[in-house]
Amino acid sequence: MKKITILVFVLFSMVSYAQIDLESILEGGVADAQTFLKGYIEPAPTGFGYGVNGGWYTTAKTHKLFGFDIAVIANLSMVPSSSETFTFDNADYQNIQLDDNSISSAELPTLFGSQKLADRPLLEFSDDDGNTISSSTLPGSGLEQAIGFNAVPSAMVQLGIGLWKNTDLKVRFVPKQSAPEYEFSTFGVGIQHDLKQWIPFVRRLPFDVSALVAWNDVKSKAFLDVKNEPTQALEFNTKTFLFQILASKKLSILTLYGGIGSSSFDSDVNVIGTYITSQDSEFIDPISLNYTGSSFRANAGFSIKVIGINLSADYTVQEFNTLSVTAGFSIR
Amino acid sequence: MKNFKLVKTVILLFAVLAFSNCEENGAIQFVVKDSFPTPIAVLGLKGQSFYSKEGTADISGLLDNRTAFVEANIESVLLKLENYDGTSIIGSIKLTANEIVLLDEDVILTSLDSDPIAIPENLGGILDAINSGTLTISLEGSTEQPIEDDDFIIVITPMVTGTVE
Repeated sequence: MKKITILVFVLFSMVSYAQIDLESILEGGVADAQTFLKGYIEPAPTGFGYGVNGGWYTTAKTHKLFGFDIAVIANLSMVPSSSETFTFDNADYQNIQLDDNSISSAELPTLFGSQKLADRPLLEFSDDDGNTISSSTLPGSGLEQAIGFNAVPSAMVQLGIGLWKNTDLKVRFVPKQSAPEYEFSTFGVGIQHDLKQWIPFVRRLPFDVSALVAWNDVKSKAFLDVKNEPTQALEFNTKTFLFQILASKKLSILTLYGGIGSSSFDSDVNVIGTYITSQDSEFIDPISLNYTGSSFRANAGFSIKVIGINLSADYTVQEFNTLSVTAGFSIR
Repeated sequence: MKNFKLVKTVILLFAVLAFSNCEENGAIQFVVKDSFPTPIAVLGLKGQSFYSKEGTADISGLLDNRTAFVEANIESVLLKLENYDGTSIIGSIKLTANEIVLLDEDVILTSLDSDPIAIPENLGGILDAINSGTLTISLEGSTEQPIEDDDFIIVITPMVTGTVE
């Protein structure tokens, strides 16, 4: 189980690779740091929120009573190129300004943006005494250069069980996992219900139709400097909601499936702990960011049963398109 | 057990993808730019038309949290007078930082910061000195009119730009 949590903390490692120097950002004060980080981090919680909503189903056919399935789900939410930068506008900040006086706004890299110096304008940080220092804005994670594309990963373990009236209960549950560097837990439930049984002419069609509603809550915390600053941590909590109408057709060992619906998330990113800047200003629990989003989603995929193992892959078109793959087994 | 191994494989694949080589071309670089006002006291030279003084700029603030400088340059210099009884000093000035002549030209010193005087890129390199955290600045000047004060300060403000990793 400990290994599973590693995947979730890929996000945090990306933050770490981006070498966020939080104390430097705080030189400009909490309000400016909040505004800056809101834009800089945004693709991560957005991609994670949409990603977690992936993999809830691999067929529209519900289980028989007490039939069940267990699956491991991995999602990759693709970060669109438009999310590789965010707009920095001098007017939105008090103590952070573009070093170049001839411009009032600029596109800066997000966590998924460029690492090149040429793409990272200088920002001038001022304190209340008028002291200033200019530094290149934060770089992206470099993930695209490393693996060829920008994506936010997420993973889940899911149990589905057949109940009455062709209804499946789906549960995602990982109890709180604690290690010196992180904490993680998740809980989610979904209900998938067969619709065909209620619609007279649809009942005779040679494919399955069902509806799914699902909710998921992911709580995580990464400690930033366990040895030297044990209070410093990054909290990342996400709630997601999914509604989907599904259809699937089984062809021997192959099942084709797809659906349309909506996906939404509500994420909190909090930087907690005590931070002291080079100007000796102290900040406690300085950053608290909230991200919400919702999107129409449509997906299509296939699953195949090989030696008792169900393997599936689907692609979802939404604000952050998502590739989901699952592996598991089922007794229908 | 078979399923667990599969989980482990998927996780490792993801982890390797995410953790591997997440920097484009070696270490990530930052440009840092800061100014270091350095007051140099000029004492006992009233009536003279030549002065030669030395001071030390504390540039250690530039070193905060930085591991290595790839490049460091004095980009420009500001000059001004403080506590001077007259209105200005007109004359030539020769400015040396760590034995490199940065500037040797006619200037007008007043109580206001001068316009930034650009230092040619080939002259402003201070990479060798930067890790010491200090910059030795020498000032030699000759004036058109005799100096009108026995105790004043010339503030030299080098604007240092460094590329760090």
